[in-house]
Amino acid sequence: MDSLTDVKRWFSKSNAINLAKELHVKGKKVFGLVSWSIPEEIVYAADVLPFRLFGNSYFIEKAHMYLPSWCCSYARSCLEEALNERFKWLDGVVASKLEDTCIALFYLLRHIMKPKFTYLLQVPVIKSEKGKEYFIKEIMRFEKVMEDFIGRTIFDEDLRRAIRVYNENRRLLKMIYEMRGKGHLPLRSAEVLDIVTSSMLIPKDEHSKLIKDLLDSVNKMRRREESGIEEKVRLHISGTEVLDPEVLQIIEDCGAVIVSDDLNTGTIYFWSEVDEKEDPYEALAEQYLLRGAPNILVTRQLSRGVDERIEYMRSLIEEFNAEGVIFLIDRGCEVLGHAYPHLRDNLRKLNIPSLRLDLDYPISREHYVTRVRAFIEMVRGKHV
Amino acid sequence: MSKELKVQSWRPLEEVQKLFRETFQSHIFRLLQLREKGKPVGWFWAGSPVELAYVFDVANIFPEQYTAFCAARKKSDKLIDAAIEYQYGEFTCDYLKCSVGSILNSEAAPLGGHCGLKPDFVLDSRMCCYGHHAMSEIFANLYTEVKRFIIDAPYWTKEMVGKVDFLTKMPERISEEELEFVIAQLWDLMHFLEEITGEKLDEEHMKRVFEVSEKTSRNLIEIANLMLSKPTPMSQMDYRDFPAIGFFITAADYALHFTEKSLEIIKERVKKKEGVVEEEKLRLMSQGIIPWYSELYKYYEERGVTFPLNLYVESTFYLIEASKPLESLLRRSMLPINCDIDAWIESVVRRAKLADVDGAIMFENIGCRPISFGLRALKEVLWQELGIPSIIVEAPQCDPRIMPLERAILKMNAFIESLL
Repeated sequence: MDSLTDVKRWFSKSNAINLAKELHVKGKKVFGLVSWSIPEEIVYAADVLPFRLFGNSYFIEKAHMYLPSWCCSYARSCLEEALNERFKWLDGVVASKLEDTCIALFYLLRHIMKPKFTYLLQVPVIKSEKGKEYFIKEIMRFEKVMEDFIGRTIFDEDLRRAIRVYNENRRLLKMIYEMRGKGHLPLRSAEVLDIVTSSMLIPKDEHSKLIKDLLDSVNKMRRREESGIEEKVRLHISGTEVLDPEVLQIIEDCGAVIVSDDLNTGTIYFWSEVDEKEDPYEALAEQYLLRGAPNILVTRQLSRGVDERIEYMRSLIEEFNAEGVIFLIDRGCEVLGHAYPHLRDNLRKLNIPSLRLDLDYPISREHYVTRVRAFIEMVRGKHV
Repeated sequence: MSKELKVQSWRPLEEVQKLFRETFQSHIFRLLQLREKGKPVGWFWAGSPVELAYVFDVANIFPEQYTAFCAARKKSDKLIDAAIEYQYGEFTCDYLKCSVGSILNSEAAPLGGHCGLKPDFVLDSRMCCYGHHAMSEIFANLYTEVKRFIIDAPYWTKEMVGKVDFLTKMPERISEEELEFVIAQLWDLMHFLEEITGEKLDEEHMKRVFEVSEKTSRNLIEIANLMLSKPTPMSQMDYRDFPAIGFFITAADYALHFTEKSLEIIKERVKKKEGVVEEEKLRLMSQGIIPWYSELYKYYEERGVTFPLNLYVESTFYLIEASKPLESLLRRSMLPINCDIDAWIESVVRRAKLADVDGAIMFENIGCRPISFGLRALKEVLWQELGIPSIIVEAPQCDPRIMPLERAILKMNAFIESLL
């Protein structure tokens, strides 16, 4: 990697998709994943490429034949891609049962694409020992179905190796965030988003190599560049699947710097590691159900999910010295449609200012700019 | 309509309506009695193990039923506005917005909001949809003292259950892992109820509760099958009260009484070959939660368009087996919206043939993802396999401002004209 221009090229979604397609042409099987809460390590251990399905279409036409316009833009744009036959090359589709939208999308993709392999993973909504026991069995069942499909056994060592490869990638992504937080990363958050989302599209070991190359280039360059981060308002971004770098760019263009997030396309995906010492099935169940970054859809018995999520946000806000939070909410997102008021109220109790931006396409740039600027002024004023 | 359908004399079953009002009163009376005795109040969702409220003498409130009641009385708008003002999503379930709105704006809430009974616990069940799980979280946030007990069921795939009879919710089989997982949680729930009520599980009482529930459930299934008769014996304006029984109170003596009497009345009508109107012109299938505020069904029935098959109402019925109480509770999660969509569509095709319908009307319940997202695939299959045309009408179940009756009628008239 010679310059940071390469970063944009290497980590761009189109490049990642092309790379995945090339591997497929060479004979590698590729499965489209509808949700981030699937233990991808199982897929990777089977020598199949887990490829997170993202829609690129913000101009939705055909998807409206199946989904109403109030459905979230993630599902609509994924379906649009499928209807435009852009996912036709995939060998399989895997989704989790946590969200109703994901379930519906899974069945629609199955109906339209007719892939050779499909699996709906039963991720429990309850964080408990019983939930974990059940989830271990479910992971094993998923593995068995995968084995039948690929025609070979997935050995424990395959799985352990996959866990190690994934953990390394998690650590590297975390490093990127830590460097950005310290102002040591001359990249904009839109580019960081590309780095994270591309990790969901290409083999993790190759992605890790790219990050290492990037870090080498950055280390050489850092001495020459001033980031000017200290003059900017430091923000934390909250939401679910944020895929459009433009929104992040608008926020940073207004005089802010994004330092942390709790996005499914951000820290929620990679922040904590799978225990490499434990039995691999147990470790995966622990990670994806109990120990990992708090999934807002999964809750402990007799408690509130929002408390765990707020604690997670608070710890990131503190670690990265964020001064405010911007919620990016897709108007059709059911998860935040329910959770947002309580996240907002709890942040208020912690005296952390927040702003809600509704995501809708086409993006209304001027509208966002006005609101973000006012918010930044308000946050700045708080410190005067 | 250019091909005018003449208005005929409409024949709702007034006796059934009267019986339902009495049943509703009996339920309120039970709640008040239990409260007087200091019994805890539990809030329950559709598809959850509701029989246990009768086993443990819990005052059982059903937020969905309450909000349907508000909407039917055209009292839901202010409640929905209160929820949106608080910034819950505009496209979340109407039941949520209404229910939460009745907490946020209690002055606008009929019956003092959920019959004036705040919950001691909320049974958070992911046995039907994600929305119930999320709404339970919200209640736990709004009522900070409330205990929230979670029960989880899988989304039933074909591999787990094979074919399912979606009227009785009887599957070909139940996979071992899922059976074990859900039954273990049901035991945990019973221990929780023992703790919260301070009373041990009375197995004899439980047996009696399930015996009542089985009888009620069998009556409901027989009624659903009688509805397929020609001519259609009952108005949807009467039939729409039946989900309240099937979903929530099958175990109550007053529900058994209601279904026994209703069944007798409907049987009599079928025997006499008497329908909801004199001359049946078209038979339609209906899918989606009923827009409670609307009299659409009445409008069309008066014009000879009847609805022998209402998939939403049928989705609320179950065959409860007293000999297998826990398995019956588990099967409450086998609602069409929590089962393999393709398996459900196959069963709809079979049912539509039996009902001999000419077309289908589907309500896209804005905010309800499990119902709305499957409609277009169903529409496609009905046309391809049976040549049955259908129309999708945007219809949130509680917000009359989104679907003015006149606009829906205009759209549906054009569809009905094409069928004549």
